[in-house]
Amino acid sequence: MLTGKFSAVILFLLIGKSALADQVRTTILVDLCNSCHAVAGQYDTEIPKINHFTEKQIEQIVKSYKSGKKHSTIMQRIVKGFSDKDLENISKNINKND
Amino acid sequence: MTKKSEFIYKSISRRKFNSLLGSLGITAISSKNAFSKNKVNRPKVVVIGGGFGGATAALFIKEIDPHIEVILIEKNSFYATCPFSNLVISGVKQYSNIIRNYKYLEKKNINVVCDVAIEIDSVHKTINLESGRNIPFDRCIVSPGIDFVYKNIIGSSQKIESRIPHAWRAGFQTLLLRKQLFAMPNGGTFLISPPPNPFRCPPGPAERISLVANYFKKSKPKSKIIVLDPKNKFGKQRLFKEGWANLYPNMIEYRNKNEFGTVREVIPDRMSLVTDIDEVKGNVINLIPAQKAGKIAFNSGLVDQSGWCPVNHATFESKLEKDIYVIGDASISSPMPKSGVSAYSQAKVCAASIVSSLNGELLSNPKFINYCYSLVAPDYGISVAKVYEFDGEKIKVIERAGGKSPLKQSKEFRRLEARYAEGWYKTITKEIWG
Repeated sequence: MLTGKFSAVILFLLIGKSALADQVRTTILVDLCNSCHAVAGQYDTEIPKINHFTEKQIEQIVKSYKSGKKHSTIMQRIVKGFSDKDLENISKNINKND
Repeated sequence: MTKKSEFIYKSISRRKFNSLLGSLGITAISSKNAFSKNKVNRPKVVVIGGGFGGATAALFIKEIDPHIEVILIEKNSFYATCPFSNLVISGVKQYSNIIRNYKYLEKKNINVVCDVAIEIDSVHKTINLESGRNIPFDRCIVSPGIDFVYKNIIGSSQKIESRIPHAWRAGFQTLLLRKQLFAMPNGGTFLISPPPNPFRCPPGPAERISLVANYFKKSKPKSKIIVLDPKNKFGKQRLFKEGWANLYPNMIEYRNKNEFGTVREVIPDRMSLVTDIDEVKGNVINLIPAQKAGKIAFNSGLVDQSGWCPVNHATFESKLEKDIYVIGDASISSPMPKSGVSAYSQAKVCAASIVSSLNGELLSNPKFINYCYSLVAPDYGISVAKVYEFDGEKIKVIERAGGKSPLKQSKEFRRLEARYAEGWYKTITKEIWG
């Protein structure tokens, strides 16, 4: 798990403090989505599964909720709380497979 | 590794993220920060309380930095969730459906200690346990939930709860209230008095009223419910009242503060509550007392005069004690309500800020969410959602977002929200307790 002090320091310098905090921040945002939608849709619930969507599709869907073009029971109320940048970060990371 | 944590790693690309987090741990040891003082060079975070807040925080710390030693102190070997406990009380679900345990957390290399935390010694940075053990910590997260205030109502005490339960912490009293309702004759009265603000789960009393009404409608249709609410409004009020008018006409008599003032006294021998203007009897009484932070917070000097714990809203570090963090119901996190999802959302930010505090850097602009489903009937759900952000000083509501389910919706809309409630419960409890 630990990559050794030297490489870690290099990585740290490369990525920088705020990039690291940003990654953790995005992880938290994605977790908030998954607290309902579940990861990779492995739980059998009626909540719409989102694991088959591409990054672009997810981005398009959440942005149309935000703009009011698309409606569901709850999504439009939630996505309006997030900036376009947040939504892009979420879209990029939510179904990432490698 | 579950798909969940696998996902988190994958979300940034596993190798990169592991390295990133490795760098956090390593930086921790080599930095001048507090954790590096730890003699064994392994920073130790102790979490008190294994509910939605505490268990989530413990897991998330382990996930973002496996190098940190995480100990969870929880007095029970199992956890009964408050969400969905109203379904148990009203006979829709079994008690076993809301019970979770800590095996999954142990598998995640969290050291789960079944003991009662009595007091946090902030000078020596140790936690004194009921068993006599002391556990040292570098950072401590306190997520103790609620305790009850009895002094405002004459006759109210823990002693009467075997006859007049509050059932506002899921557990034995959940089953007791269910048993009492099952034994009540058709034509009897269920008398419920919700607590004054602030309290755990603001829409909870109205959901309980709804689901008991649903049980009466099916099994004891001549029965009625009298509500003595010491407030003039309650969460999702219009949505609940719309549902009650449709589903349970003439069954619920809702009286508010303007109509009766306060509940002054409880008389178990007469099975009654005395208000400013009258005495009201019930075959089954559910008196939910006013609330305050869990006991450990009082014993450890973490509460202010309000009875709750003031915290820094960016990190959840106590404003009264350094290196001790309070999340969930016990914290003053207004405008966020005291709910399982709030605690979950706060736990993530708190865990991340503890890990990143090693670098002396905070998460930028953390966001929080609370969404909360309530059941007006098992196939009739309603919701409220809010998104929050830290504005540099405190948590504030993002006004353009959030809101409640609309009024006047189709049966299908309500059915879907009820199914989503079920889906949410399944998903979040699986994430936390496996």
